[in-house]
Formats: sequence, structure tokens, C-alpha cells
Amino acid sequence: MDGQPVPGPNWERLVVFQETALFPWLTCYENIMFGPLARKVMSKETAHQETLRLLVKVGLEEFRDKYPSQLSGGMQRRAELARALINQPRVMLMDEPFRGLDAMTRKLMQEYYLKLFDETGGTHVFVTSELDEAIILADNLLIMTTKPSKIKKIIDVDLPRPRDWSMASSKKYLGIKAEALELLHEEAARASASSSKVDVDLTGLSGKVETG
Amino acid sequence: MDNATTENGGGRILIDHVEKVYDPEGVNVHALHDCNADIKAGELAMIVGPSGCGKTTLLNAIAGFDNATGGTIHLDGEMIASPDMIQSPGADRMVVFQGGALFPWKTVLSNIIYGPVMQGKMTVDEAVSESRHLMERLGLSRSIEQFYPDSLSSGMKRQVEIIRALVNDPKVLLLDEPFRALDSMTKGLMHEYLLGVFEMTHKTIFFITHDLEEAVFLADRVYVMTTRPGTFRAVIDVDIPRPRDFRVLATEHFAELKEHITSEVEEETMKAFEAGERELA
Repeated sequence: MDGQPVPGPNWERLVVFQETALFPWLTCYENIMFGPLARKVMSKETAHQETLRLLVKVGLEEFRDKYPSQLSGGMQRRAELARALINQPRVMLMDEPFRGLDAMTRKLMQEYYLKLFDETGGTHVFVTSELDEAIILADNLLIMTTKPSKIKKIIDVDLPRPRDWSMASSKKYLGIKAEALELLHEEAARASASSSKVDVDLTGLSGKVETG
Repeated sequence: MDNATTENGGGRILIDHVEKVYDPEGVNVHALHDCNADIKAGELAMIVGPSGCGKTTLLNAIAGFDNATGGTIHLDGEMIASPDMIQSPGADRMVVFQGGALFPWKTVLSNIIYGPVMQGKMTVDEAVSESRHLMERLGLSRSIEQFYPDSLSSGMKRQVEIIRALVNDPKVLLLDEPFRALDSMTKGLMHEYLLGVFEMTHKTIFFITHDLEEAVFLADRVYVMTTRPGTFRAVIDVDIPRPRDFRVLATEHFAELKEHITSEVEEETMKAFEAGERELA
């Protein structure tokens, strides 16, 4: 990263997982505050202000004192986003963060995420198996091959920001989708043909979102 | 009754003013109300709607697992559900479940032959031969015959489940979110597989899903159910020619249809949320 080898995990590269990683014994508010206080990089007052600001940004200000078990799946995801972003990491790594959410909640999450991305910048690497999600969010689409994995192709998603659902029926969007589908289909077919055991092991799809 | 049969023996489902109330003396859940549909013989019908709206209840009524408390359902002119009938499932209406229902203690082949042999419709030899024939036509390798369900990938399990249903030569294939748990890529392959099955057998298919892209991609018609109590608020024709392949997903017409159906479902989902339905997992 930035020319230096990655030595190990740290706050500069934060992960948002598929399963919730919120501390179940802390409230929403306390979970979000945790990072900067633990690293001693913010005063309590600043952390408090930042937490409130992010709670509003993710629409959870009314739920700040709830525990994770009291939040719905979508709300937990939003709390996770806030908890990561308060640390202002240089890179955000998202591993199918919206998987398992119903279609409408997922769309809502994508909208929140797009707004947060536009405002906070940084480099985001977002793994997903939902092609429409990847295209609507991405600056670049990294399509990976089946095992052993390589990057098969990088597709530039040249759609204007802020993104809008109406773009999903534009010729440009559909052209990107068509190209991606061909490549993915090729890999899916290769994966199922090449497997000698009965496992059909298929690729994930990674959308890389970059600033600048 | 016109259009009652095709060369393959029918499969027209007439759903007429169907009502279903669970536990009328107690919790009194009104699952279906004045539900109507005329699913043609050999139609691939996709059923969508918010969570908890009654889609599975309707499937259960068609399958014969649970009766209707009002109205009737006819299959090729024969009544299969009504309040006065004693419900019974039949091999003419086979179900493929979301969680899968393969016997874990039986091999793939034993699972597939079970139905027709148990019902005395085929001898073991006939059933084995028919199963192998189906597996070959649908591109499943014979080498998996002796495997147990546990050693199959989820995609393959689904393929076996579908063959297991088909070997009974049903008029109707009922599928309740069979591909829900699969990742996107496996799902795509399953769609191709199912369409292959459909082209080959022309069975009527009644398929419940939450995946609207899947719905439009597979459907002849998409039936949109309202929030509880369920009834059909819209039936949308998917006039995309067959055979369809994945390239269809990136066309404008497809995007329009998907958008249309999405807004219908979203409107109903909002009503469901407002009525206090919990969020889907």
C-alpha cells in the first residue's frame, strides 16, 4: 500500500465483514466511539461529536443507545459502517457487507454507502457477488477468475457521481453489465467443467471503488 | 374450459377466489383473500411479493399440504383444493423445497427412484433407467449416482432435487425459493439448468422467489402478490423470446420489466413494513 509492504492488520485498513462484528455488550453509540478512544487518537469530546455526526449520517441517531441485538440486520450494517469510518482509515475493505439482506434493505444500504463514500473519500475495496450492486457502486470493476484466482479484467465504470438508480437502465450501464456477464459466465462454466470433485466452486466478484 | 391440455397432458391451474385463514378461533391469521389466477398449461409462472404475504400458503394449497378455507383450485378441470375437500398431495404436483428434502441416508440414485417405486408406478429397474435417462438429458454426470447428498455441492443438490421431482412425471412443478441460498454464479447456472428442464418437459412451473431478476429472467408471467392477506395485484407478461440466455439480463427491455416489477413489489413491501411485518432475514 502506497509503495510499502503491508505488515499486518491496522487501523489504516479497516474491514467490514459479512457477519456483524459489533461488540454485543456495547450500545450502538459506544461501539462507534470505541476505535478512536482505544487508539487514544481523539479526546472523549471529539469522539462524542464525531460519533453523533456519523449516527446522523447513517440514520441511527434515534437508536444510539440500543444494543446490537436490538437492531435489525440493516441497522447493524449501518452501525458497522459508522464504526469503521470514524477511524478515517485510508482503505476500507468490505466483504459482501450487504449479503443476506432483503432487496429493499440492501438498496437502502447501498444508498447510505454511496453517500458516505462520496463524503469520506479513501480507497474502498468492496467484494460482492451481486453484479448490479458492484456496477452501481464502483469506479472500477475487478473481475476475478476461478481458482487459482487472478484478476481477469478491470472494467472502468464511467458513470457520473452521485450515482442514481435510474442509471441502471442507461446504455452505458447495460454495456458494462453485458461485458461483465460474459466474463463471469466464462469463469463459471470453466469452474464447473474443471472440477473433478463434485464441488462447483465459483468466483466472487470484486468492485474496486477509488477516489481521484 | 379452453386451453385445458397441451400435448404433454396439461397442467392448467385455476385459482378461484381462494381464501385461507389460519386458526380462525385463535390467532386468526388471514393469509389469502380473494386470490385469483389462471396459470396456463406449460406456463412458467413466477410468484413474487413481500415476505409473509401468503405465497407459500398458496403453494401449499396447490401442492395439497394444506387446504383452502374458501374458494377452489382446479388442476386441468379437477378440483384439488376446496374447504370441503380432504387435502392430499399427489405425484402430479411435485414440490422442490428451499431447504432441500433429499434423504441424507440414501444415495443420489436411491433418492431419485424412491417416489415412483414407493408408489408402485415403476419397478426398481424401470425407475433406475428413467432416472439415468433424465440425468443424462439434463447434463448430470452418472458418476454422482452413488454419492450421498452430503458430498454434493449446493448447486448439484438442487439439480438432483429437480430430477427427483421430474421422475414422477408431475403436471406441475412447485418450487419454493429453491435457489435462495446459492451464490450468484451457482444461481446463474441453476437458471440455465431449469430453463433446460422447462424447454425439455414443458411442465407448468409455479416458482416463488424474492429475487426479482430471477423472476423476470425465468418467467412467462410474473404474478405480484399483495401484502397480507395475499391476493394478486398484477400479472406481468414477460415477452422476451425463448430460448433465453444470460445476455438477456443486460438488455433494456429486461431492465424495464425488472424496474416495473420492482416498484410494484416495493410498494407492497412498504405497506408490509408499515403494518408491522418484520424485516426479511
